[in-house]
Amino acid sequence: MSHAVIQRRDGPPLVEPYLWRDTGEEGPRTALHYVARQVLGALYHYQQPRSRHVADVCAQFADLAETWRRETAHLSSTTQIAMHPAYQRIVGLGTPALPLIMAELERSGGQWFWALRAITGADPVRPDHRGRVREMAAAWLEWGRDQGLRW
Amino acid sequence: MNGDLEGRFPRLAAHPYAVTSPCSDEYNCLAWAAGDSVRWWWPDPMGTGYWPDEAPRLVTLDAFARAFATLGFEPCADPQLEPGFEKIAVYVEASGVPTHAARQYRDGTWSSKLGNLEDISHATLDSLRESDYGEPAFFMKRRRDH
Repeated sequence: MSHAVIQRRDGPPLVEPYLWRDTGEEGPRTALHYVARQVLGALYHYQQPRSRHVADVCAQFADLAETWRRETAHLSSTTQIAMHPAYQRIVGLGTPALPLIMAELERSGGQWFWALRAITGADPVRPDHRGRVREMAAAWLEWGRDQGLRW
Repeated sequence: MNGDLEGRFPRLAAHPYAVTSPCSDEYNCLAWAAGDSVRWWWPDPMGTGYWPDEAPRLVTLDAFARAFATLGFEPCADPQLEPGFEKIAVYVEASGVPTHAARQYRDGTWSSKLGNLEDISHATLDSLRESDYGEPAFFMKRRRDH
């Protein structure tokens, strides 16, 4: 008989897939049993990975941003600044990083414009404001709010 | 003495230098060399930096020369002080890609804006060598009454 033993553990993950995976054993299966397995599968895919992912992105972003600021503060070349490995990894985080970038831009400024363009494909900065970092930051923050981002 | 700067620029402490401004992320070395302290100049492909329309938006010495030509600069052979002329020096990586620019004071010493850190005055161009800036490799000048 196949049993799906459901146990809660301290802290995430709440449910590990092996706890509800079909063991392959023969035995009676009730509709309730089947539904329970489907629900647990859905939880694993949609609830827990998302919360873990969000926490991971926040932690990764904080580490990467701090490294990037420290190691590029003396650089004038936007190319060198944007090609820094930590910056490229932030770009690689994709859209989940956008609220974090917006918060960082609003709080501390910085050359986040390359990353924002790379991630979003948007360009809300007026041509005559190119290089004017305060105006550029304001344009991106307004764009973010218009897109419904919250930070 | 500034331990952070000297850590980033190992040769800085070997010659006299002085911090001459607070930190700012509003302008960079190219802007400072061009006499602009309100914009960040760079010909990045994303179009985030200011760059004169007349110059190609490329990170090459030719593009830098054409950008500074819009301000009256023309290429010259060396960074030696010439009375009546203002000079700039462009640093390049080993690959020849520009990274930094400094401008010359009337007494022959130099001024650099260091990324989003401070402006400094430095006695020689050597002060910033052996760093992420590479080597001073290209020079331009214009008359001071330009």
